[in-house]
Formats: sequence, structure tokens, C-alpha cells
Amino acid sequence: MTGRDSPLSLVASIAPLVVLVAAGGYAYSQQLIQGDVVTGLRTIGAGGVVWGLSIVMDGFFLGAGVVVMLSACLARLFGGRRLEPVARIAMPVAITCFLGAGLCVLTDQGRPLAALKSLSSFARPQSPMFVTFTTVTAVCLFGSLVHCVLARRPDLAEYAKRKSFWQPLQRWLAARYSGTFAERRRRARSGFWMSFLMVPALLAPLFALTVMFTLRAARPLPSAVLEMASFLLASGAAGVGLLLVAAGWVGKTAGQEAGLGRVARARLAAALLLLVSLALASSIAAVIVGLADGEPAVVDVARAMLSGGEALLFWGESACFFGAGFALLWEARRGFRRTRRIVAAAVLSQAGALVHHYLQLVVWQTHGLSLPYARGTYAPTVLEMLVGAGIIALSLLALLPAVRLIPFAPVVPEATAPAPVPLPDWRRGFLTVLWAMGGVALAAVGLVLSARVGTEPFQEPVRAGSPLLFVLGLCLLVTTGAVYELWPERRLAPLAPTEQGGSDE
Amino acid sequence: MSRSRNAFPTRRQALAMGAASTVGAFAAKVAKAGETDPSQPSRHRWGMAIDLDRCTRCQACVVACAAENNVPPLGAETAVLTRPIHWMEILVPDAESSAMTELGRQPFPIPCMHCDRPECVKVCPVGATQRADDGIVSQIWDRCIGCRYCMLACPYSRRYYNWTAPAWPGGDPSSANPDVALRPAGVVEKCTLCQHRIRAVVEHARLDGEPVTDEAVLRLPACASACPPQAITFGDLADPHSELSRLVRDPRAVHLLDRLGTAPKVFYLRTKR
Repeated sequence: MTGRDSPLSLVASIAPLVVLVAAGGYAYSQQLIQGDVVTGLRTIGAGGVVWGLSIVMDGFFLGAGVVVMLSACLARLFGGRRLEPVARIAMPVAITCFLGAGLCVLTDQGRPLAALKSLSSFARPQSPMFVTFTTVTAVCLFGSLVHCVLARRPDLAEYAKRKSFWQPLQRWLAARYSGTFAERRRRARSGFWMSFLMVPALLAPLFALTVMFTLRAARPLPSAVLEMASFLLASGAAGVGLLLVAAGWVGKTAGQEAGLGRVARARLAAALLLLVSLALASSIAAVIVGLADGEPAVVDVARAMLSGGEALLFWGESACFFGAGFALLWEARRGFRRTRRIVAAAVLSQAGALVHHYLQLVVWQTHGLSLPYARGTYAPTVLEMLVGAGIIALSLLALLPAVRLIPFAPVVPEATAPAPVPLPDWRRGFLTVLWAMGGVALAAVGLVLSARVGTEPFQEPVRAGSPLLFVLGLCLLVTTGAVYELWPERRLAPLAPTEQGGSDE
Repeated sequence: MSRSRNAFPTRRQALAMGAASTVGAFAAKVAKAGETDPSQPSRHRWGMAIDLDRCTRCQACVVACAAENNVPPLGAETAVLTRPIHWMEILVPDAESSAMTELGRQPFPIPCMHCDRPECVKVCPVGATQRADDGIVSQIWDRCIGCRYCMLACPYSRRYYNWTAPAWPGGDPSSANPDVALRPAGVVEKCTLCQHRIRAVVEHARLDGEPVTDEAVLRLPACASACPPQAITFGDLADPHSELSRLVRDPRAVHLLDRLGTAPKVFYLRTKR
């Protein structure tokens, strides 16, 4: 799946994924036909939970994806050449995560088609789901895709010279790229600004997701703050861990030159060590603070995690984080040289983060009710698990054509041919600014119309469809870099033969 | 040629037509101003009080609510799977739960609280649940996408999800109340304080040109009308002389989970003992 596989190994890796997708598709069809009664979800207060495995997976994928993409942006902003592999590997991984997160949410809706229609027409900015819906579609998925293609255009231009099934598309994506000094300068400039703009745009859905997972009406502020911090740290650990696992796999299957490199690996491993340590500390602190809380619901949740029915999961999560931290600390003494041990620690950190998200979401529903209802339980059904497995498989399958189109392995650029110096072109800058302002204006109009600014907050948008306007505005904004980079260059007219001779001198 | 020219009005005719249409529009506006505009904010603020001294926990309110609002009867299969729908139910405090309420450990009937600051409305991503001008927190079934965020956010757990298509006895919903829509699978539903009955009373009063009297609404919702000891009182909180407002001023009156700041419009009158 890295662009270097033999046909046999390719089939061997695809076949289980196809089987899982088929099984997931069957399970989801049953869910659609019979209703959500086939899941392990039940009514809150009647012994069940209403958000289960799908939303836990959504939280994991979206949280990890945002952190992976943030790593790519920060690497491009501050990392220089040595952290370039981080961005190269992170972008496709992040896009896969966002795809998985979107599918998890969509399959969890009672009426998925109505969800697409109603969210486009009536989405309310007052709901945390607005940010996740709009920014995940516009910024996370579309923006990351644009960012990824622009960042890899030099490699695409090289790959497009080789004969393959993907050659026409590679040619189209790398059109006009010839690696001139001016182009590289433009690319660096647009990459910097796109990364700079994407950082806040990526943080918005992460914080909205944190609110959805942790804020509850009956949860007091100290407990809520600690829970939010632990959610963010666990997401960070999951994201960096996923990046390290993906890099390990890329390095193993596509060659060391496609992997992270020593410096980038050491820095990511150090970041993971810090994140798992803080995640462990904050999750234990949240439980201890919960025990001393005045709100009975918070105390019940803390007790359930420390010594009640969820203790096994809580201590399992702590063990995962502790194990990951210990392995990384051990490896830190040797300068993070052993990839295998780092990958093992990264897998442990992801397991810990997944269990952490599960506990945060589910235990509050089973033990944290403010009224004296009977306590609930939750066990995902086989169909639910199949849907989840199908989503993971489908996301990985979607990655397959992507890594065929833009392989992970970088291509050493050929020596840049001497190129004519571009003429100063005011039109490029003007069009870029115009494009960005158009995006901002469209997004602002969409947001204002959706939010009904200055009126009763519990109302629907002024115009149906204004949330879609906001999404379109964001999409325009994230393609600004492409406009700047791809606007045709004004070049000097070809010189006459007599003049050319003179210019060579 | 001359015919086609004559088909156009002259300048004088055009001016006359313009003036006539302006006067007509103005007259229609003046005539309409005499009527009550239904789009104007309601002057009512509906609420409910439940007297726990009178309540015998007979569950007549539960049955009446289900019958009135087309809550489908639970089949054996759904009952086993514990996915009930009760817009109104008697909450019997669980012995293991440490959650404390203002009502102590006694069982009590619990409908939707119709909060003034409803958490469910804040989180709904598509505005499928809204707080109307008259204070009723209503649900637009057709717009609900089934995300269940409102169920998670409601601190009273008073929202129900249709986990599967409703099963009617013999598969025939013809005995259903035509005033209340049937809900499909995949949407959330909740108590509407029998909004359809309220709308009918308000509309009749409007057509008669008379105010809505307290007597007309005192036992208006199905639960209140079915309650044998008349423990449930419905009324207008905006009317200081209504029976409900009098009960709300009673020292026994409390909100459920008052500390959460949701400002419910359903009050409980605690037992004197």
C-alpha cells in the first residue's frame, strides 16, 4: 500500500479490508432497516447510554486527526527541512482520520440523509456540532486535501514523468510545476501561510469536540476543566502516537528514505512522552478531584472508575499510558533509536486514549445522572462493532489510491534548470487577496445568517442553507494558497536568436 | 400596428393604476391591523404544578399521556430491550443512586420540565427543538436527525428516541389521535404539554375575541385532565391571578435540580409531612 508493493502483497493487504467493509456494510444496512434497536444503545435513565462506540470512535479519529494535521502544520511552520517528513506522512494520515470521523458520525445518526440535508440548511452555530460539521468538512477534509496536494507538487511532478495508471492525474495536479526558484519561493510562502491559517481552523473542531465529550449541565467547573484537559492531552497522545505508528509502517514498507528520519522521530517521541505523562496525570487528577466534589453525579462517576464497574477499564487506561511513558523514557536514554519500541509505546498510547474517550463519554451516562434513575450499562453489539471495523477498513481503503497517487516516498528533485526570472506580477497578489477576502466575506455572511446575530438565540437561520454558505466560504479561504501558487507566471518572451547569443554571455 | 400601441396603457392610465394599487395595499394593511397577528409573540407563559400531597402515583397520567400523544404501546420485544418511551412517568428513585433531589426519596411524576434555559435546545445542531414564545419547548419531528445530543444534554433525562419503527396493535395506527403526528424511527420525542390542545384553546379564544380564561386551561393537558385527585395543575405563569401562579407562590413549591440554573416551568409542591 505504499506504492512499492507487488500485486500479490497488494491483494493480500486489500482482501481483509474489503471483507471488513462488506461486513460493515451489511451491519449498517441492518441498522438502517431495523433501527438503532440493533445497537447496544438504550434510553438514558432507563438503564442505557445514547452515545456509544460510534461517537467514541469519532472522538478518537477527529481528535487524533486534528493533532496529526497540527503536527504537519507546525512542522512546516517551524520545523525546517529536518521535520519535512512529519508533514509528508502526517497529511494523508490526517485525511484518513477525518474521513473515518465523518463516517462514524454519519452512521450514528438516526436519519443520515436527513442529517445531511438539515445540517446544510439549518445548522445552528450555537451548537458545538456546528463547528465540528462545518470545519470538519471544509477545513479538516477539504483544506487538508488541498494542503497535501500543494505540499507534494514537486514530488508529483517527478512521479508524473513515470508511466503509470495515475500519470494523467499526477500530471494534472502538478501542471506547470517546473521547480524554478520563483515557484519554490511561492510554494514556501503559500505553505507557510496555509499552515498558519489552518492552526486555528483545526483547533476550533478540537475544542468543540472537547466540549461535546466533557461539558455536562451538572458538572462543576473544576471537574469540567480537568476533564477537558485530559481529553485534549489524550487526543494529543493518540495523534502523535498514530503518526509514529504510520511513520514506522511507512519506513518499513516503503524504505527508510520515506520514513521520518532520526531527528523527526526523536522529537515526536519526546512529544509523545510528554503527552502521555500529562494525560496520565490529568486523568488521575480528574478522578481524585471528582471524589471530593459536591455534586453527587461527579462523585458517582469517580467511584465507578476507581473501584466500581469501570475500574478495570480505568486502571487499564492508566496502565497503557504508564507503559507507553515508561517505554519512551527508557528509549530516551538511548536517544530514541529503536523504532520498534517507540512504535509499541505509540500503540499503547493510542489504546489508552481510546479507553480514556470511552470512559469520559460512557460512564457519565451510566453513572452521572442528576436524578435518581437506575444506573445504566453499555455493551456494544456485534453489529455495532462490525460497523466500526467497516469504517476503519473503508478509511484505509480510501488511503490506498491516495498513496498510489502521491506515494509517501519523497523524490529527490532534479537540479533546477536555469529559468527566466519572472516579471513582477501584481495580478497574482491582487487575485490572492481578493480570493481570501471573498472567502472571509462568504463565511462571515453564512455565519451571521445562521446565527441570527442580535436576536433570540434559539431560532433557526435567517435563510435556509446559510450554513452551507459558511462552509463554501471556508472552502474558498483554504484554497487561497492554491490560487497564489497556481496562477500562471508571466515570463519574458522568448528571445530572438541573435539576442539569445548575447544573453548567454 | 396601431392596435399593439393601444394595448399599452397611456401615462395617465399607468399613474391611475399605480395610485389605485397603492391605496388598495394601504387599505388591506389597515384592515389587517385590526386582527391579532399570530406571528406576534405570545403573552402566555405556560407551566405546570404537581402537588405531591395529592398525587397517589396511580399512573393515570402516564396512560392518558401515552394515549393522547400517540406514544406507541410497548411490545414485548421492546420491553425486554428496555427502550421505553414515556413522556410522563413515575420516577421511583433507585436505591443505589446517590443523586439527591429537592423531593427526597419519594416517587414522583416527571414530565419534560420545559426549561426557560433549556440545555437540549442549546445543543440541537439543526434547531429541531425550540423554545416557543409561550415557553413550551417543542420538537419538530421532521427536522430531527436523530443525533441524540439533546438526550445527553437534558439533566432530567426527559427525552426519548425512537429506536425502531413504532409498533401498533395489529400494525394499524388508525386509533391514533389525529391531532398529534406519528413519529418515525430515528427521531427524538418528548412531552409538549399537549401543545395541540393549548393551540386549539388559544385559537378559539382569539376567534371569539375573548381572553383565555384560567378555567379553560386548568386541566388542559391529558395528564392533568386524567389525574383523579387533581394533583396536576396547568396554567399561565404570566397571569399573576391564575391558579398556577398562586400555587407557585406556595412555600412548598420547588423546582427540580434548581442548582443547575435551567429554570424549569414545572413546579413541585412538596409533601407537608
